[in-house]
Amino acid sequence: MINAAVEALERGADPSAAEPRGDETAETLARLYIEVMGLIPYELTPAEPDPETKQRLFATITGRAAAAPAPPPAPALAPQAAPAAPPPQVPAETPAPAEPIFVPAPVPAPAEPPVSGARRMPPRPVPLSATRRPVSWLGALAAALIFALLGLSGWLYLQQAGQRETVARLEREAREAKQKEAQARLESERFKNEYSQLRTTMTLVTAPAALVNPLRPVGRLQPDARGALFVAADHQHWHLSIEGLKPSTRGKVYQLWFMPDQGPPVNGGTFLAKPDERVEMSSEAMPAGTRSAVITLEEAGGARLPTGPEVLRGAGMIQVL
Amino acid sequence: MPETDPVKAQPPERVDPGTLSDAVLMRYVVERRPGALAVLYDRHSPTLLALARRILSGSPDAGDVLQEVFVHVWNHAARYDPARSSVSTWLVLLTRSRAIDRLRHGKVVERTHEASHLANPVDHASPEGADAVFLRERRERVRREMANLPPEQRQVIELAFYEGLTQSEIAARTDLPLGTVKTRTLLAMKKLRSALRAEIRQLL
Repeated sequence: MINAAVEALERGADPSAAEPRGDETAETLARLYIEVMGLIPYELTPAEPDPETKQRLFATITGRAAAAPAPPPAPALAPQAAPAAPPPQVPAETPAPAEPIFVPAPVPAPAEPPVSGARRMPPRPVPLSATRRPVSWLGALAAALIFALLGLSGWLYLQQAGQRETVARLEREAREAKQKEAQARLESERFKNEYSQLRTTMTLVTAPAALVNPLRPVGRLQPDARGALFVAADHQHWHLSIEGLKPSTRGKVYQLWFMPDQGPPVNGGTFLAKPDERVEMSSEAMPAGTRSAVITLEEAGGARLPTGPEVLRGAGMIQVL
Repeated sequence: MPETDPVKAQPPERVDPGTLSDAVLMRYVVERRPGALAVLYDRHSPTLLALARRILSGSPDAGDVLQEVFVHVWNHAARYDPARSSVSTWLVLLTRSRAIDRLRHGKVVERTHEASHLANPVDHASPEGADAVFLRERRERVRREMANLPPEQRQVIELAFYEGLTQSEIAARTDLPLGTVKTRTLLAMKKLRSALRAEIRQLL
């Protein structure tokens, strides 16, 4: 691309025909070559042309005879009528009729080249407001300020909205953190209670004078159920542990009964069984003279006396240690 | 009542056209003012003739080339685009292309490369004035920078500019790889432009 642009010039093409090729690099380099090439001849010693050459030239372009005097180097600038146009002396370059000298008064502004041609850029359209430049200036300035203020306002509004969102998010996170803290406290309390119960149970179960009442299934109702009622040495604290109970059906509950030496069974409380979960119950009170325990299946809410089928029955108190 | 053009209403003044810039003179040439062309001729013909003689090895055809160039300027001044180059550069490239055309068409005796280094035998009597001083300084600067080029870079520039060889032809002539020729040409051009930036600005 570079060399193509340059070689086009080197081949002797008219430099004004060196069209840009849309390639910025090629265009830039072509311009580089043109700029430099325009200076290279200045390294040569200038040569004074033969005066006849100038005479022939101006005779050609003005259509006069070759013997006619050429215009002086600095001609007087006054308008003159266009001469007749005899045949030119350079056949390939036919000159057009011309005024012999030029009038300098209507000198066009240097910034506006008057040359018009196929390759010249089209003139820029002049806006209607061009004749009122100061007013348009102020208008443009005011418009710019308004746009700047609008832009600033928009930016501030967006910033404020962003800050509001941030504050709301932080508040939401704080609330969530507080909730988590409260939950954690509850969990902690629950674990403490469980730990305390386990410790109590462990103490109760492992105490030297503790009694154990093994609970075994009655009949074929729930053959996989097993359990034990641990009773402390004071015969007050107790702990019930059962596994393998079928989950409670709708409207039914399991109920614990203490079986004293004399008198009817005493209600020890109702409970539900969940799949694969051990049932653990404890209390600090138990009827005096209890010798055994029974688990029955009762209607929801429990019964005053056992009415439902027995699921587990104690086999009698055993002192383990 | 038609409005009077204030510019055209001014009475004609007598000004020294030698003080007008090339660009302004070109506008007058477009308006078919021979006096403007005369000023351009007086201003640039010594350099252009030297260039034509250098390319044509001093052949008398150089004068014909000069006339051909200015007749072309007279008839096709509207083709000049100030956005592309200065008037001076436009004239230089017109002269170069026409001289190389003549060289290639065998209208002159083929010269040798050594002959191209001969100094131009005819000295130009420079006119007095600030323009002459600037011109002389420009010539000295260009000569100095051309002389400062490495010989191998100067060689490719001369072959391309004065003999009109393409880069492929230069590669064949000098037994150099085409890439080397391209690189040397580009380096030389960049070096010259960098060194002659002020002169290029003056022309523009």
